[in-house]
Amino acid sequence: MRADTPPAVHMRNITKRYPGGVVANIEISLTVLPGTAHAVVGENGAGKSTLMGVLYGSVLPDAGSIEIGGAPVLLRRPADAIRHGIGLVTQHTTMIPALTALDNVLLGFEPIRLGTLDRQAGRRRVEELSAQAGIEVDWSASAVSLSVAALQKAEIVKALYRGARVLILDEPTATLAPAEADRLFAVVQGIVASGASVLFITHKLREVLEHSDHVTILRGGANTGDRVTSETSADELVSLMLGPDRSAIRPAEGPREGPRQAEVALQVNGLTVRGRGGRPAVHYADLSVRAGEVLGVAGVDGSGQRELAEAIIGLRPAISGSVTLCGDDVTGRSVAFRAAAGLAYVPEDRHREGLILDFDLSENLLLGRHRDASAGGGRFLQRRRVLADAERLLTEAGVASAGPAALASSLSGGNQQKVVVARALARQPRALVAMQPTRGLDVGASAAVYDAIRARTAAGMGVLLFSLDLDELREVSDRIAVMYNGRIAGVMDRDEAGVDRLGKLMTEGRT
Amino acid sequence: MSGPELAGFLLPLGVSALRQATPLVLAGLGGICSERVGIVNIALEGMMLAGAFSGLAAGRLAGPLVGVLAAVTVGMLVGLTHLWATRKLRLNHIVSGVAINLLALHSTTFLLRRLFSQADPPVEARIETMLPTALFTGLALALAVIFHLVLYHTPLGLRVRAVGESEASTRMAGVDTARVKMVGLAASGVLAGLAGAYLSLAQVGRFSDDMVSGRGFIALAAVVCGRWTPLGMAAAALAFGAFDALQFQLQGSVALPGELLRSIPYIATVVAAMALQPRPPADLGRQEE
Repeated sequence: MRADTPPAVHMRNITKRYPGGVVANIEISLTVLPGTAHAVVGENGAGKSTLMGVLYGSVLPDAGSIEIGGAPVLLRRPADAIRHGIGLVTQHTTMIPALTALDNVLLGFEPIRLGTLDRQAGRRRVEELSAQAGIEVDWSASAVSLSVAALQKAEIVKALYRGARVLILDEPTATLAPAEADRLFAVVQGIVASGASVLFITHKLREVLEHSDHVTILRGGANTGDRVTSETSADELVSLMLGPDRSAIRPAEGPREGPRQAEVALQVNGLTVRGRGGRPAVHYADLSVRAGEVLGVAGVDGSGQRELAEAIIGLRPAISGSVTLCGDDVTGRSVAFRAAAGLAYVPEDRHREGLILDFDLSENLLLGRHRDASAGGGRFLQRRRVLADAERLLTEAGVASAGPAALASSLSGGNQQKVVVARALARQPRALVAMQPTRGLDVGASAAVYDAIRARTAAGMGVLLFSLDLDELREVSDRIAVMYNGRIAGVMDRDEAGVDRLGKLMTEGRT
Repeated sequence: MSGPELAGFLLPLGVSALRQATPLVLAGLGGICSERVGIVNIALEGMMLAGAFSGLAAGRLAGPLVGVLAAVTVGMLVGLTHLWATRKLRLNHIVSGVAINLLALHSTTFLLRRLFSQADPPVEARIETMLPTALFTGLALALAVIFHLVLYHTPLGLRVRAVGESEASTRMAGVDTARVKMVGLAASGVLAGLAGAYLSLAQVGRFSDDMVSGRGFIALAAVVCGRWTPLGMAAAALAFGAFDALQFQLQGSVALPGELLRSIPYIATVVAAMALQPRPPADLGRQEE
């Protein structure tokens, strides 16, 4: 970097308050130099995505200024940011499933010939750019048929096609297998080498240390440090991310002491399940969760995890196979029957499946237990009892809220998840199926969720834990199963589950 | 039936089918314009009625061509009203559509009495010089082909399809989605207004209470059966027109109740919805966050 070149991006004192009083960014400044990879790290809720939204024009800041290449700019909508050479690859794809990959890239910046869309010229340009970046995508395929990794590559080309000189990647490896993540960073290296800048958000410190030149750390909406990566360490980054007082709060590590009884809590035999579009999404899955054990399930996103979980709890019919709960065959039984028999579920998406955001907490906690007289349910609801029961559960789970009458939507993500977990555990289940129970939660909230689950596990509950986060799985599971393409590709003890071995099983189905 | 007899049966049937299908194709294109940008449009009926009335009213004063101009202008205004109600007032699309239909029905009924006739009933307003129906039919079929080309082979068409699938993603791609929606709803109103003008200025040469009588809904059914594509919709509209014509032709000659024949488009829609499982634009009816 020469001293006389202006920074690629200079954000100054950015402040953003959301309606409801949440301050996402407090006077954050951020400088990105041209031709560098710049990491932004912080816990969930630290303000990373808001800051990137401000730079992309999709979030309007309340105060602050932005300079790009030394010139002040006003970014009121994504189109403005794109015009100034900012590209964004969001965590969840913005590729439109019904359109082809090519049309998705061209959208809004279409080459025109005789008034019509010149797809040939567009395709030539797109192929040229992807060849430069070392990316291969089937451009005529519709976006719905592309894998998560392919969609992300197409999004990178989409940003480059729009002339991006600063490419923002929001948690780019969150849903990638390790080998795919390595390929992604190779692409990032190429882009940086061409003189453009890459700004990537992550909470994985290994990625920061291995792949960035500079790093900015955010905590609680404020910038707590800018470092040259080669001059910092993982320990320093952790303390800047968590703050001096909270560095101690990490999920419990090491081997857990729990009764590993021989009794089987949940048994799945030869389960085959149809997915969207009617094709089998799960093939002959065999799993056995012992009482008091956590069986983790790893796999690339979309390998059949959701279909398997839904078939086990009864939301989705199985074509063949059986589900056994503590020795009782519950195959073909309703969700309510299985729940009454001791099977609980923590769904993947707490906003859409876990909670009804416009209901209050007592109503949310009652759902699914609405026949239990002890919870205030039954033929007629006993409001007072419902509230008392909710009060008790909220206190036990340590939910920070304005009480049982507060709307679910008024809670932070971590507290919402505590409510979902508290409800699942309220009936003292014998087996729990949990889909990414800590997705989007910060370290403290994750620890609280796992503490709640562990307390029941110690009492003999078996847990089937689906997660995309290998570090998390290796930390909390006793054994780990890997799903690949709808099959159980392997099951191993935690001690044998190295990242390389898991990664190979996840992406190739064998070791 | 001998050859000439068959021709004598089929030819007028074909002509009649085209006459019945014309307003369905025009309004159906209007439905596509609106629904492809994500706005549910059951207000087609009201837009057609407003177009039919304003077309006839202006036509009586200044000739039928001015009438057509008035019809498309009023249609466009109603279309933009639907957009404003759903986007700015954040009304549910169906609620806005019902409101527009009721408003159009009662305001035209009221204006018809105030402006043209004190008699009650029967109430209607006539125009002397009518426009040739073939003009509209040719225009409707040409527009169906043109809209197909626009939708799949122009930047505007790509943006329209993208907005209907995901407005949020389209905005992130750098497209001014508000403008795309405005173009879509303006075009929707223009086409529905034109369909209304056809009814009052070309097909019957008069306006009477509730003269659209459900054609807006049948046009919407054609949109669904045609899977939100211009050519598919046009084919469905022609089929519905043919059933309609057949019903007229057979009236009195065959012991088949007209009510049964008239319900064919609705039955066909249900059957088509089950058989084809048409997938609406993914963002259709979604209220912006």
